[in-house]
Amino acid sequence: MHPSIRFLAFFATLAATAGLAGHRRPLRADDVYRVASVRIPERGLRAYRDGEVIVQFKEAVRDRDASDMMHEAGGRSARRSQFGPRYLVQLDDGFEIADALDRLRTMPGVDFAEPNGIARAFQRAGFFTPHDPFYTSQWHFRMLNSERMWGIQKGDTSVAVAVLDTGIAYEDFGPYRKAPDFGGTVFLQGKDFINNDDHANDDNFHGTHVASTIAEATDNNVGVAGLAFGCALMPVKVLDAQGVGSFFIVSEGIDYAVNFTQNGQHPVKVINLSLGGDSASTSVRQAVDRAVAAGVTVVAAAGNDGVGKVSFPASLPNVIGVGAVDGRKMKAPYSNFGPELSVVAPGGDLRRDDTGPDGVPDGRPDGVLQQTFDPDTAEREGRYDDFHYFFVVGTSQATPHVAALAALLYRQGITQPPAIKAAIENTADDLGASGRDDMFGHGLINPVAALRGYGLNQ
Amino acid sequence: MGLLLSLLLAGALEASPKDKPVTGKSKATSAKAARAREEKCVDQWLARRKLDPYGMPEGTMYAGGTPLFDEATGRQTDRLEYVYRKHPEAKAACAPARRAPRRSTDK
Repeated sequence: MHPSIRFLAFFATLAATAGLAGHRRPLRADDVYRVASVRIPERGLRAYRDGEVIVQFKEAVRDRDASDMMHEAGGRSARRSQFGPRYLVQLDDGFEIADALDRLRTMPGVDFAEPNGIARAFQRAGFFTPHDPFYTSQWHFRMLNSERMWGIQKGDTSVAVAVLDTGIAYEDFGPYRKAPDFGGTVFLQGKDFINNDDHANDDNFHGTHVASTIAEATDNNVGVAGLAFGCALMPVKVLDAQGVGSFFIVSEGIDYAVNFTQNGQHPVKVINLSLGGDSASTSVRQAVDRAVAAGVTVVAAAGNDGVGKVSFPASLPNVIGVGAVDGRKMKAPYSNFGPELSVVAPGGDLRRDDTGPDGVPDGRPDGVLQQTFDPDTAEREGRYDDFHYFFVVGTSQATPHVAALAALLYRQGITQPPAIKAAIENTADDLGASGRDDMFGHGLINPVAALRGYGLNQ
Repeated sequence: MGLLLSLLLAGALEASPKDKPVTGKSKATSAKAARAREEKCVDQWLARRKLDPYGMPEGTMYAGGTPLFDEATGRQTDRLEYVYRKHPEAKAACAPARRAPRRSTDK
């Protein structure tokens, strides 16, 4: 059976969202969208409209007989074509399209019967527009010219991003459930260094949201998109349910991701660290050095204290330290800054609404919109299956945008971390003071420029 | 005589430095200095116990790099408030004594 989740349809106002900003849980998309129910296809694009079939009768069939036949096949109502005895039939609840077609096709008088296919606009050359209903609310992808970027590179499962975080909702295991919009996403064998087992399930919400930015299943007519959706993910749990971990555990997680092999290959090319701490650690620094020496790019969050000190390990010279900008490309107030900052990416600001069409407020807060489970439901009921689309902000959310770009650059043929870092920094759009500065680093990442500079697939 | 009287009067009316009214600016400066003293005290208290600036064991790492910013709500928590919640004894050692609010029965 197809799983069903909540479908979110726009209806409310910014005032409603602002009133909810005091809640512990993130602002979720259905705080600004009305909830209804739809069924989700298990894989790929939905090819047909639910509950509808087309049937054409032979010319000799009277309308009354046609009506009886359609009713018998499960039809609730029908719309006749203006150009012949052809009908669009709406099926009654409980009737499957396949059953209705089987019945109609055996009836005398039926010329043909078929499902009502979904027509799609052709893609613009060099662009790729995903069919995910809430993609239009992902201003943070549009800011990066994502559709042109996908026209160049979408990623491939030969390149994996290890997400060292609170885990990912990637499997059905015990009380944990796989997030529905990870339907087609490929996951490598993960590791839980908090509970010491092989099931790196998320018990916080943070890691799932971060992973979703990198490789949410895309163009599947469900929810939102992921920036490097063709790439694989590896869940590595190094933070507990409160989002807290340690130097030792983070070092272990880095080494696990770097040493992982599959079919004789090392698929992990990028490590995403939407985490950090106040002080430096030799064990983490050495683990990062080993990763970079093995050809793995490490991307880390600059930190959310809003101070002039970049968190560790984002401050390491061989790590890409990522700060955050809001929907206006201004430095987000919480984003740390300093000489070690490499680049900035969209991290959002829930207090602002600048990202509607033409800069007009759209009634939605400017957070990064991705899927995760409701942390309140998890805390209150121990359930990790209450999935929604949440607006979340922070350098944690900016970091996976850069990790995704790094993964796409690997797919484009760059294999060394210093070259990946240089490609990202040298093609960034300068913001703030001219040239590199401590507030924005080298500037806002420009995936199209980075990808066009390398490889043949332009 | 008149001149002497006016000079004496002017001297009497001139406020001494300690009587100077507290302006908004000087209030802010002294609050800033008090905050800096309190932060220094807390940092020393934490360092003696080998705790990080948030009151957790040194070597702790956090989602987003800090426990003070809630990425779910966009809200920032004051560091001293956060530390005091975890370690009330740090508050006892470092927070300036606040005057108890006047009760309605007080005359």
